[in-house]
Amino acid sequence: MSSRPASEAPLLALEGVGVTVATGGATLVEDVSFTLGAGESFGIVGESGSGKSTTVRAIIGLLPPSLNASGRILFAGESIAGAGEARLARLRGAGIGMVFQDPLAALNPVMTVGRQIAEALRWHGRLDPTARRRRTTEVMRLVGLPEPERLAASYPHELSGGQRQRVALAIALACAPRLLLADEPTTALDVTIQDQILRLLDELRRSLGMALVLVTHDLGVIARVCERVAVMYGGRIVEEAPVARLFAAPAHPYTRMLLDSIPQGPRTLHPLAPIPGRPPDPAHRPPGCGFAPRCPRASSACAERPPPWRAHTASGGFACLHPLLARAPAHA
Amino acid sequence: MSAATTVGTIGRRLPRNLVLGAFLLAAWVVLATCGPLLLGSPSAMDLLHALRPPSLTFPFGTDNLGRGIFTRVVWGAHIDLEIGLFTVLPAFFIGSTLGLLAGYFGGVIETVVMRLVDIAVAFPFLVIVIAIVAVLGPGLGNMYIAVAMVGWVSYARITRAETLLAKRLEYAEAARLLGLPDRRVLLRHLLPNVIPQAVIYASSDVILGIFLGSSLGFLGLGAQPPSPEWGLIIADGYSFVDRAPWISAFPGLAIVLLAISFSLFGDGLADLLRPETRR
Amino acid sequence: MIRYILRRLVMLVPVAVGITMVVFLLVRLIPGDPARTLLGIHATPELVAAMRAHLGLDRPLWVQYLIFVRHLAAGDFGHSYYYGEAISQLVLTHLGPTLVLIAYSVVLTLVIALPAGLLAAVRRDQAADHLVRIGAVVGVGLPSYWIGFMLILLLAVTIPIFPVAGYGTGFPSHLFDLFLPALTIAINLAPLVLRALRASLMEALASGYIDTARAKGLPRRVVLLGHALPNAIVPAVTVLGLNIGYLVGSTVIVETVFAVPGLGQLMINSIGTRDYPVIQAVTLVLGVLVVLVNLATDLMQLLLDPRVRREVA
Repeated sequence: MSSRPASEAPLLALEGVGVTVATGGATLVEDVSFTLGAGESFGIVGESGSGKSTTVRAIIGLLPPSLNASGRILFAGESIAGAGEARLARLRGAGIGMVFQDPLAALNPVMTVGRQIAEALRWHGRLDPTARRRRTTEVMRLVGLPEPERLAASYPHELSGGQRQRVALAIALACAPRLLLADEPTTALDVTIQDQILRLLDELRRSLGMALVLVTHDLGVIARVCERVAVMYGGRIVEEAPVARLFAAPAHPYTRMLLDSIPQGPRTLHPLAPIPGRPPDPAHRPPGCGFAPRCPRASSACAERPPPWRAHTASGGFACLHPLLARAPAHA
Repeated sequence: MSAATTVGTIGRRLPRNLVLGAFLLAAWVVLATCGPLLLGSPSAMDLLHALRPPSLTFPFGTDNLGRGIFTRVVWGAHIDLEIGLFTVLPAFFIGSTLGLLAGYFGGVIETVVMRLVDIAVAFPFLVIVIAIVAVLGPGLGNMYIAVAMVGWVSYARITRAETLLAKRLEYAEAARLLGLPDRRVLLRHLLPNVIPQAVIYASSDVILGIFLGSSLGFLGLGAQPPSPEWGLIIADGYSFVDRAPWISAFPGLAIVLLAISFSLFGDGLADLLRPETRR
Repeated sequence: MIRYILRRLVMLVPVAVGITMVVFLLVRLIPGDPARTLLGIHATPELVAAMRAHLGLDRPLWVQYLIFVRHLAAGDFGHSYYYGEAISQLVLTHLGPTLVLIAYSVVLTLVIALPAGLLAAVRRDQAADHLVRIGAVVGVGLPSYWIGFMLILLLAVTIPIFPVAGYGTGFPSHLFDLFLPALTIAINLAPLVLRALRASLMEALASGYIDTARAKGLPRRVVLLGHALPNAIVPAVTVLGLNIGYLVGSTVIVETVFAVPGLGQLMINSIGTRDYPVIQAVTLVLGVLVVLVNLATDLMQLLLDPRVRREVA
């Protein structure tokens, strides 16, 4: 759905991906589509409950059994949606890696850090123990952990928050995956550490040529690391654009309000404008645009049907009947 | 905030297993009280019909002295029900009181009580009860004394913990600030809110009491022959396991069924009281 | 960490003292002259006088207690007239079978509880889970002597595989003969461990590191056994430790049922023969045994959970 040069096949492609709750049918994610090329960094931003984490978990097949996924997911040209557990297990770690939000919860408390990293290698490679140890220290150095040989023998509770997230990264990167999914990787960290980890992610992406999908609720994080970004609301993508343009000239009213709600300086000059209301309940979603009840530009047409996706002239697109654009673009 | 009003408000929403358990227990009580009236003596011997398998005249078979096991089991019902009660009630009262006092007043009282608890807990319960009964002499009465001496510990621990929690809640502080005497605070305000946990524990402790009592009967230290206490009947039947397994099997089944009845009742009671005790 | 172990051993002292006091007072509960009571039917005036001197019965009670402790420290548990030997000797010969039975029961408990708990947690709310939980409820609700009886009936009489009683000679024979007794205890104990394991497994499986493990590409079985289980086992072991008192108590009944020549049987027999010194000694030994096993369980926790290690360092 986003226009991109057709010469290179995308590394990751989602087409009409949806996630529903098995019993009751509440919809958490609906009709999500985007593509990602090798080495690209793509951000997904939205409030909590917007379905961004769920989407990303659907890619790697880590949804809880109470949820059902639908739609097409292609990795390196092959369909992986609904793939068998064995195939997914082979893919995880080696092709697609993932880091999660809470680094303390993400690490096994009773296993040394080094063993947790080496375990990924054991199950994907044919390295012998010595080579595994070497690779472990190598990847620990890569993520910026000091004294890897000594640190490898420690337990997660002996490390700081930043160190733990680096370990989680090391685990995900041990087998050099081509795609890294990061679900709010810095949210649980101190502000000073956040910056370090983001810089690390950026460096790693460039040096390893790895694609990155970064999920966050923080637009500041997006600005730092991502090339393109999709804005999710109520389980759908409402806008997708290159980062610079999203910040300078957002098309969707929700994006505009998100930007306005970021503190940008002294409050007297830039008063905070929180968005009134709350996101739609997945169990009772309105027939029309999910944002309509909170949107200052909404009309009666907005509440009837979900707005269709319209491609932007440059790249990306949006789903809105009344976008904030100087002139109306051509319909897709 | 007494327990009576909270039950009143639950009304029709009584948990299923509570109702079922209560019904079963009522049935047991009826059996225990009325059964013996309808049957012959449990000691009636009939040597011509010794060691007979279950039949119409002897639904549970007979033992080596020709006594009907069915008759004996029914007569024994009230003994084992009493065992359940008398092993739990003294321990419940002593332990809850000590626990309440220890939790409320703290200080020396608490230290002394908790030290006693630590020591009592160190012993395997059955072993110390056996030891005390050995010293005092076998018999149900001495068994009740022995259990009371050691069994209060669990109740003390529970009520002390609950008291410590409840003490800090506002209504207790308010009552104290109003200048109410300690006794009033304890009895009217703390006790009704602290006791439900102990009651729940007691309902499952009854089962353990019955097991303990019948175990002691089995070992010859509890009820004495010719009492038709179930553990005693099982012990008698042991040597006939190959020839007449029904002698031991049926009383055992009775114990299991009684335990299940109490278990259902206790679980139901816990379900009923738990939402109210969690503030 | 050594300091922690030493500290725990030191904390045992008041409990041990308490145990000795209780045991000491036990015999004093019997009305009449303690010396005469202890000698039982062998009481002659000379022996009674000697015993009175030995126990210091004309001294104040607390001095008697100290004398009692002094004897204990020297390994002198007294003399059994019924068996005709020093009680310390008696206790030693009967200690072996009881220890083997306890260890065997623990092993069988784990053998039953671990797979069952795993199954119930993984197949949560499905048929297997319900079956396991019903089994657990039944298992706790059966008195041990009845379980013993049913096992004898089924596996020793109806289908004669195992012996009805006894201990056998030689270690392999011990293991075979003790299977039914150990199983009896395990049937009572396993449900408790199983329930704790199921609960802690469900909690572990909902933790974040399970996501990480799966995101690494580990097969489901490895995630369950290599990540969830090592974390879940600690509370289950704790529950096992909490019920050691119950376990030791059960051995008394089980030894009687299956005629295993252990401490429990010694105690019951001695009650019949009014051999009070033996009763005293066995109570003491069993009490100390429970305390030691509790300590061992705490140390196991240290071994299994590195976070506990750090807390005590």
